[in-house]
Amino acid sequence: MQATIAIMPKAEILDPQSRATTDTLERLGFRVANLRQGKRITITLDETDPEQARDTIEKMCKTLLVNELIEEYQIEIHG
Amino acid sequence: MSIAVITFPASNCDRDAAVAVEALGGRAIRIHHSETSLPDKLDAVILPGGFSYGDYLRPGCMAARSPIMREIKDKAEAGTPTLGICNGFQLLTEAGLLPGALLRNRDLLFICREVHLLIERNISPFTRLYRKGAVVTMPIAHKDGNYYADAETLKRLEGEGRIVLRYCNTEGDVNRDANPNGSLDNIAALCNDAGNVLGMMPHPERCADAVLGNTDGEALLRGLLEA
Repeated sequence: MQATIAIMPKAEILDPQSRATTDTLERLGFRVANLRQGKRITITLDETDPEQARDTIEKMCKTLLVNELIEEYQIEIHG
Repeated sequence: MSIAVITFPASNCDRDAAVAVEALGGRAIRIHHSETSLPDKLDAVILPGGFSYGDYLRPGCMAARSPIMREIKDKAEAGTPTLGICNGFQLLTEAGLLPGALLRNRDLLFICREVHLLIERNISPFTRLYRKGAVVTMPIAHKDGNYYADAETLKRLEGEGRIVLRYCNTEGDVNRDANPNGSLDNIAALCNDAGNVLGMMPHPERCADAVLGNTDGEALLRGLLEA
């Protein structure tokens, strides 16, 4: 079973990376209303139950993968 | 006075911290992150600067989950003075020993230069040998020193007088121009509510010997050693 975790800086965080990317795109002539950049982690688990897999990934996020003070995340479980 | 200096994979100021402690007459005990206990007779702990685990995922996050950290948390909660410098500060926030987080610098640059710091509080043991309101100079060397906490936490920190150092200009004015990295309220160092855990981005161990051209950091380490 495979999981994808999308981790994004929270909306209220002034994220300098996203700002620099936005500024550069605009300098290149693109118009950007809003841009946020984050990271994506894919994990393969030796697990067949999707609920169990989600629980495990959720625990991984809370324990290490995400700092919930500054980031938010979404988990997708693939068969 | 015995001070444990912890080495994580890719710590790079651990030796500097140990040398500075020894030069001031203390005993530095080098401890590897894979250890699970600290010596019983220990007066303080230093979490040094560097780029533990290559700053992967988030600066300090892997080191904060090292085997030795359980013991460090226990000691810190029992009152042992614990100083986190640079990566050590990032690590303290990741370990939940200090509130907030250190984000990428406002201008995305790695900044390696001297900054002026206002001694906002002279707390024991860390800044007790400085005069409150004094301006000192110390080097910074980081890419992720932009302190962030939510509005409620920040208000509490300010209200409780837990901001210990702020970036300022030569006159001691705390303003945007004197802020190298975008830290909220120009925060360069803060302590926990008990005052025994201090996280700071500047490097006192790099300015504690006259041969390095600056000794403004010496009083901080001496404060720790003579506590």
